[in-house]
Amino acid sequence: MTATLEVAYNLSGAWITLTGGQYQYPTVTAGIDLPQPGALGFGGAASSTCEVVTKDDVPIVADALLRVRFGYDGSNVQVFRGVVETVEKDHDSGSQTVKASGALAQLSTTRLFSPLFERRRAATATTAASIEDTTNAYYAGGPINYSFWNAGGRPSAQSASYPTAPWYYACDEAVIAPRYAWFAGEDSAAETNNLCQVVGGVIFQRLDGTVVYKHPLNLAGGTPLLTFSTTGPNSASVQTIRALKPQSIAAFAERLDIPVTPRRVEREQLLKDMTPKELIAAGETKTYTLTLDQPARTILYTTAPYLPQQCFVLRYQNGVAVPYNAANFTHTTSASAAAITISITNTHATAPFSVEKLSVWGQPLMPNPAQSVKVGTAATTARARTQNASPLIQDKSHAEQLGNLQLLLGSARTLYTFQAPYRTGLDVGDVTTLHAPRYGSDRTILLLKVSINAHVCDWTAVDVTDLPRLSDYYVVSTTPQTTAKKVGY
Amino acid sequence: MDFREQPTFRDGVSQIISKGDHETLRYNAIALDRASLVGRAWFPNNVEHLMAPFASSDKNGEWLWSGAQLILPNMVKQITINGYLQRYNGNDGMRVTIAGTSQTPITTDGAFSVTYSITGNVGDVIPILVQKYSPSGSPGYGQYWIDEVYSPLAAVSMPTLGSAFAGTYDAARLNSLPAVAQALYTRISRTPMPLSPGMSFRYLAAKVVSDYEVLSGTIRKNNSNDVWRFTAQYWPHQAAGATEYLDFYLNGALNTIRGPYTGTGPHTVTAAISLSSLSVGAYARIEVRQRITAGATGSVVPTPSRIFVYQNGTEADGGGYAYATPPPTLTGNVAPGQTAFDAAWNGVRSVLSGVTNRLDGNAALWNRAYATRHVYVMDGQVTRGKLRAWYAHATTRVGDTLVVSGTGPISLCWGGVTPGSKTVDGKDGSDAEEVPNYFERKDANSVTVIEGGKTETRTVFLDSIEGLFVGDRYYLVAGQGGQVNYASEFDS
Repeated sequence: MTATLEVAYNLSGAWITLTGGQYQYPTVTAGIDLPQPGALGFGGAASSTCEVVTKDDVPIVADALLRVRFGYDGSNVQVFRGVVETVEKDHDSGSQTVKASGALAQLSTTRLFSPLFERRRAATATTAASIEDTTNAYYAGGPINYSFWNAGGRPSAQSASYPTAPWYYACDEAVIAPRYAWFAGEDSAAETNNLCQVVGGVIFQRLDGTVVYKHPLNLAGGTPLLTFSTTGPNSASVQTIRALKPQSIAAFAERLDIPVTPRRVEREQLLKDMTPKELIAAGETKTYTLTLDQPARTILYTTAPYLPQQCFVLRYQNGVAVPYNAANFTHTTSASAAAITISITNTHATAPFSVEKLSVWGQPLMPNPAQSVKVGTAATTARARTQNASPLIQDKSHAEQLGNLQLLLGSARTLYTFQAPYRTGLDVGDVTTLHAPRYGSDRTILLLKVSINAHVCDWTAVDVTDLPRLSDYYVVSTTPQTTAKKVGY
Repeated sequence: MDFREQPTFRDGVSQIISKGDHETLRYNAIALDRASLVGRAWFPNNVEHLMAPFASSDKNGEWLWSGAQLILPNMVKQITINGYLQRYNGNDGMRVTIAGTSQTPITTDGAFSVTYSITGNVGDVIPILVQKYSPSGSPGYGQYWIDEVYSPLAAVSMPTLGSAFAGTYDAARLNSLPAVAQALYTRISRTPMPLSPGMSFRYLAAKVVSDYEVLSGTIRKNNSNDVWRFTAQYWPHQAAGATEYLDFYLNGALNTIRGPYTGTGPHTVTAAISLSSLSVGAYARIEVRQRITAGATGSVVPTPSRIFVYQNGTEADGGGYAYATPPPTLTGNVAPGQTAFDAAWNGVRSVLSGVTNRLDGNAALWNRAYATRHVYVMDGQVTRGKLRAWYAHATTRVGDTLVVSGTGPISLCWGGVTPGSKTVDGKDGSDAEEVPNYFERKDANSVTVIEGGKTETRTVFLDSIEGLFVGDRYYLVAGQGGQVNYASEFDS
């Protein structure tokens, strides 16, 4: 069996494959970080990376696409696809170091203002038929799907419909649906990671380039893909490993104190106003953005997207108020939960007018005084943690769901690091069996991270033998479920 | 009502059914069950009369009903008036004026129901006036009885509940629960609960041996176990030898007597009068009279009797409202067994089915926006003190939002009222010469809703008023120059 490797870059639409002498073996990493020791399954997104040294005459530049494929006997599988971030040349050696990051890095540069998601699961399962286009009137996806789509991602289950997508994503159906969620123009990667921290689940980029959201009760997966064994022998279902290093980590917590910030919907009122005091010349259009102090559940329109007369104080220079009709001005709006943009066009033939005041009315989501929910044992000696406050945890039920899930997943467990040859198709997020007789019976492990160099993988995995499987729970289905099943938190 | 945003369910995506999903739906079902019972306990009490209303010999133009309607979203732009008319002669009737425009008079004897179209935008307040109509100009000893003044609300499409759970938990069946709950919530939360213009504090007989009307009006039996509940504080006039009673009349017949009351008081007066003779949805005329049976006839006493009415309307009897049995709860990460799992979901389904039936079966409470009746006396004057009483729009807090339209000063008061220091300055419109022993009204708690001199429509978020809890009786007290034009509470 002959190991094969392909490194290619793409400057303007076509992939250019480097020849064997143009580069050294690249190092590819991918996986999931644990945001805190033991905090398995609640965020920890890490972008995949690739570092490759090439000759300095290879015309790769920042923002070019980079792709790496591994395989055997000429059959290559993609293990990295991303965007070049830096190219550092070295005159004396005649080489350059190319560093690239995967899709999650692109997500972090995306700033989104979203509509309000009401009791929408943080991520909704992507299928061949799920509506993912956020401009579709029937869009009912979760906020994580919303951010992925608007950062350029497209559902992998519908890849045939989007053959040129920069990257693909696949989502589980999240367990928790926050009462209200929204994006307010911040780092989308950080925001989606925040969502994972408060609803459970992890986002990571697989070696094949797909960005995945997995919910916490699906981490232990189904049937293990193969067995990593310290004893061998190798076969289609067994892979020998070396340098196995188990590391015990303590329980994340035995008691959690979770801050809750309830929000209430108030009746229609003034949400925000501004006094631009700007002239708009005849025929000219000016645009104003009102960033709301609190997210709006509704905006008051006459007929969406048109605002009522009370929202405009416009005045001609002779002091006469500008009548609210199309002969004098028109307007368009674009509203999200946290901001509204108003474009005003002066339709008068000659006269400029002054924008004295603009206001937006609607129903705000006002925060109530913060509360706190305690979950877990009341023993004073228990390992206690206080969850970081999040505006997304808005009711006691959510806090209890979250706390119970964290305690379930955050029990004491073992991390493993080991080395194994690259196996085609094996990826982060997969579940395998670990056979290491020296440390007891076989374990089920979740592959968290990988670093690949020269067809050798350095894996980090975590023991998930104790975790429940998806099949242990009742799921929404037209098929009868009459055997004993658990209820999710 | 703390109605929570609800989950949705999808087949074929391995969506775990969670305790949290069930808990939310269970919580909402319980909230809807409660709101559909308690939320309309006092409702509409739209016709509490400030003076004897049923027979009158007054002249043409006498006010029979004055009030206002607020145009709401989803409201059909109509005003419907239901009542009863027995004319003195063929020329008499009722004249209806809406937004200043005279409508077709009501001239048919017997029970009537008339509907008029209205125009206007959401947020407009439409004045409504019903007067005696006697073109002949002669006094008419007819009967004029207004039961209801309301605008219909547009129908809410009600989804159908899925069949009972028995081992299959598909999206269609599960999603029917939040869909029905949402429709019920829409029906309940959009329906205004009007504040009734009720007497809150009143001076009674200033002479011994008398028979004096305290209040009269109409109540509606809304639930099968409703009673006419009356709670008040009573201060006797303390004339030597006087024996004071309160008599309760139901549909013209003496039903209950409370007393005798002597001494300085205040005495707590409570009555829970059976309405078993009425069917659900029926109205009953009520009257409370003060009766004094001893003492020197015609003597003027130094201090008149006084009464403060906390509660006067229909409410469930001592057994309380017939709440549905709360659905069973589920425990996370535990296998409950199919029977228990089915029972948990069917419990939610059962409560929602019960609430749907309740609303459909008592549609008058849920498809109408009742107008607010004004405080007035028969000469058309808005006079709170002239009858030696402080009238105020009142209700028992159920919801979270109060919409008030009127002219300030208007205060929201709660926690009861007590006579304060004596004063003769004619405060609150009282006539110092008619009421020599005037007592200042002192409300336990008060916040300004509309400032003096301003005429506006205000939305008051009741949660923002510290100490005003759900279940508290509260009043809108208009001060000198003020007038409540429209007032309704919403449970949103």
